[in-house]
Amino acid sequence: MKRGLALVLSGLAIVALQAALRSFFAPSLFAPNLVLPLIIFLAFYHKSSWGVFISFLIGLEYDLFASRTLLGPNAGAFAVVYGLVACFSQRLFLESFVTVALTALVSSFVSQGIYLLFVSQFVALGTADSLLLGLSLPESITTALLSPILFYLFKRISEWIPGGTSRVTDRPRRRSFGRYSRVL
Amino acid sequence: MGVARGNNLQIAIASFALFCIALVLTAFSAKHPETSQYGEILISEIVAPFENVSYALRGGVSGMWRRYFALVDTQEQNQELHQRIASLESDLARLREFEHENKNLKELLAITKQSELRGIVAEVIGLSPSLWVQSLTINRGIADGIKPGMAVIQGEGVVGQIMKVGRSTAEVLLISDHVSGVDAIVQRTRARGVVEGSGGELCRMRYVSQEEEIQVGDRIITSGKDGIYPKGLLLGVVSDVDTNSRAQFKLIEIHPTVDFSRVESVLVLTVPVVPEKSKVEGK
Repeated sequence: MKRGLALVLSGLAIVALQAALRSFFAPSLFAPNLVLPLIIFLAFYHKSSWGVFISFLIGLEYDLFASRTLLGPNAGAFAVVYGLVACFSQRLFLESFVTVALTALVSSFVSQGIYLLFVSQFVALGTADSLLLGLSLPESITTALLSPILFYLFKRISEWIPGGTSRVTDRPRRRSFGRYSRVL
Repeated sequence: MGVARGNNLQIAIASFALFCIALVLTAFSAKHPETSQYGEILISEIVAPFENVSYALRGGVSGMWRRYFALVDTQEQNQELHQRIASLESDLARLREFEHENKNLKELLAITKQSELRGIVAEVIGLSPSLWVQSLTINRGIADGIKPGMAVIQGEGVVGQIMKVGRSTAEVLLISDHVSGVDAIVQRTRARGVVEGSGGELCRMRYVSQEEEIQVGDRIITSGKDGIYPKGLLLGVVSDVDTNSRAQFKLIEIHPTVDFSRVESVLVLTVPVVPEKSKVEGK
């Protein structure tokens, strides 16, 4: 419960950080999505049904802060991204920076596609596919490039939090993620 | 392996269930926009102190860069600026004469004069974190007399409209956002249309008749007829005109006057705007 609350509050802090940092990027199309790497990190290393719910809550926070009046598009997108990444994570070599970056790139496209799918039902956006490619590609690329660094930070912060669990089993967490091996 | 598959199944079911809940929530919030109002204001108030700190840091860093590092070609810029000042001073003298003449003509025609622009200066402390929402956050709120629907300008350019207001912060919907619409006219030909945002850096002007003659470089100004923006404020300049003869209306691309990524301070107009009436209606 405490860990879940800490994750939700962390999501809020990251959303605030993203809003503040967006002004440093010109044009703002290249500003990365800092929340998505957190969702992917949770799917990789804290895989559970509760993780889906926490991703949903973080998405709701994102909607409350960023959206005009629609509540739910980012929540649905993050829940789906968590589910997809968690289901495929067993087939990935998680310690590789390339894996993390590619996962972030694909997840960014998926989340923005789902967001557009939601919003387009209620707001006229124009041609959805051109918007997705034109506006989401720069953000997806910068998110993918920044994800390995964010993953490293999340790992370090996660090691400081007491009571962390490993990915597949419920054994107490190992001291170093680098020596972790997948359970077949 | 079986445990992992069972776990995956649970996660997949949970994801699908929450996806459906999100869809229902989106539909409900679209129909009842006030649903998220209090939550949005609460989160904006929680985040506002961090945005203020970030704004102060950004100002410090960019100020240091300007003062100590970006001094290349300063002398050349200085000379160019002196020449430009001289040119602007002569333009100013001419414009003062026009203003005086305009004032006299209006008095003669007995046209109702709009009140002068009055408002509150606000600093921009953050942009929307979402790629799909074009908005910015300012450091003024209800406590400063800000209300939803107030127009926001920078110099003679239009920035947008107040969308949400908290106690000490407010969110401004930019004219480049998808849902933004401003009643506008072409300054040269007086052709009327609606300027809408495209979600990117450019705007589009719609509902301009095919018979109207529009050129690249034409200035687009507010018409004053929507009761939000005073008449005569500059929205942008025409950058492209699509004259597809099969379409009922022209599609005009506009480059906004205001650079939204570099806006640092804005003016929120607090005096209510009276919709501009035509001469025929006035009689």
